[in-house]
Amino acid sequence: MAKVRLLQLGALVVVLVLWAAIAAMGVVSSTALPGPRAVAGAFGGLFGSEAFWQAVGETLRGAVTGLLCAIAVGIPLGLLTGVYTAAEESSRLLMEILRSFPVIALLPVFLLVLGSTPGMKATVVFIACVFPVLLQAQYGARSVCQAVHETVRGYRIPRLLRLRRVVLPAAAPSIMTGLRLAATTSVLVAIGVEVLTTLPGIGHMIMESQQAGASARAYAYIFTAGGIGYTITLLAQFAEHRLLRWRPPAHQDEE
Amino acid sequence: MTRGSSLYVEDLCMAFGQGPQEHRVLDGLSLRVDPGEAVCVVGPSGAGKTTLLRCLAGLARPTSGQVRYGELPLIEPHDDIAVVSQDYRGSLLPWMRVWDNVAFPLQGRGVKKAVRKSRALECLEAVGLQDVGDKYPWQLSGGMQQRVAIARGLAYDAPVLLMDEPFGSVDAQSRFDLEDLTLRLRRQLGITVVVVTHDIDEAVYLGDRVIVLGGRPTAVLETLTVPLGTDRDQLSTRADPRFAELRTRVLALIRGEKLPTGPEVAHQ
Ligand SMILES: Nc1ncnc2c1ncn2[C@@H]1O[C@H](COP(=O)(O)OP(=O)(O)OP(=O)(O)O)[C@@H](O)[C@H]1O
Ligand SMILES: [Mg+2]
Repeated sequence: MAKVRLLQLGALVVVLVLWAAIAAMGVVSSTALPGPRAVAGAFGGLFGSEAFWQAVGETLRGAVTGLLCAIAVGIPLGLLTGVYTAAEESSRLLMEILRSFPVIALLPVFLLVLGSTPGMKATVVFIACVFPVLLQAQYGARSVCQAVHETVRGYRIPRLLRLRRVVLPAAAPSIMTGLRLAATTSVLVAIGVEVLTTLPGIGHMIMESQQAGASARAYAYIFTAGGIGYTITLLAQFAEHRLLRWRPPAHQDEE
Repeated sequence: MTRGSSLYVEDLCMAFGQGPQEHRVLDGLSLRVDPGEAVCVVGPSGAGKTTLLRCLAGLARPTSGQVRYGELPLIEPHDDIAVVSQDYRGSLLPWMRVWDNVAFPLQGRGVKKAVRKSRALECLEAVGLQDVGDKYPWQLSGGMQQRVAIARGLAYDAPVLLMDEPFGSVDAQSRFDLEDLTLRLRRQLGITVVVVTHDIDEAVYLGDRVIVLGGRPTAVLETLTVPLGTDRDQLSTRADPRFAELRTRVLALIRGEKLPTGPEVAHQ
């Protein structure tokens, strides 16, 4: 275990060294690719600045609001359509079409309808995140095995209780997969919207820094976005371990 | 003191598949189980015992014929009937602790958590499982899981208990204990018990009547009355000459041999 960790850290160091070497050799201009030291320096400046934390806050607000709405809508809807075959079949085509839409391409429409507002950002995040959650919940709900089904029917478990204590936990592993996907998507889309509009946030700061020629600062923001994405993945993994504790160890090691 | 109503099976036919692939499993089965009775169903593997039990539970609809509980046609599960399925492993919910699995059907009836839990632990103890309430099903052995499924059936406290190969995976000693538990529950609570089993000795030991299934498609070959009374115990009942005679007859029926008669079969 420790050995694996060491190797992983080693890989990280190698990338950093390569980066420093490339930047030092001057193959790429220092505005396109500043060295690690310059970026670290930019970070130092940013952590103390209010603008940085505000940008992070704005991005997170949009991402989290959209994600929470996607969870609140996607999980119940997915479970219901998964349980009732008729609902699933009748909505399948619509679902396939809707989820194939590249949400960023719809941005101009949302801009027109909702204007350049934080609500619009959250809406776009919601739309991008709701499908992975919904489809995974649906898939999970359909995975309830025959023997469990029969038991629940034989003991006349009422519908709501069944949904809450049988279908939901049975679908939980699958839902968690959808959630992990949606969580990273949420940050990605929030930043994408900020880059493409004038809405405040990390994306906006990246654009602004670049235009001002402060490429080290731009990279610092980009790495911040990466850090947020990574933190979210860790949080999701932690939640998964907590929520799926009932699974035998063979499953718990699975990624 | 008995509870519940009689179960009637009338001219039950069950076929799976359609057209040329049609597979007739049960053909014209009729039987009746009265309140407070213990009836065992024996028959070869694949005969359709599970299918019959599912019909009795209202979990499967027969192709023709009907199943009634008293006057009520059983087209869906009934509150008075608890089922312990053959697939005990699959029927336990892996995300619930053992006690919660046992108590879950009671939650469906709106029983409070504390009451549910103490009832579940009581039933787990009755099947010989102490101190496993807080484990998850996968942490138990197959035989223990099977007993959890039985405990769940008991906790449901229904007048009719249907069990499909309920003691197949437990060790011999626990098996005897569970057989005696079944007899005791029936005596004390007046419940009706239908047990599907491969084990002929078990069928004779547990049943007031033994229904022997056989043939293709399956029909009732014979219903044997077991004249051993309600007070039975593992040693003396099994040593009773009538016990030996009955088990020999059941065995002969299942193997399709000519029915032996006369006293010599008792010593075979
Ligand atoms: N849902 C189903 N669809 C198709 N065929 C089925 C279905 N259920 C049972 N069968 C068939 O019906 C026959 C009887 O099955 P059943 O499970 O009732 O037998 P059984 O007597 O319980 O056997 P065992 O003693 O091995 O448990 C088998 O041939 C099986 O293939
Ligand atoms: Mg069977």
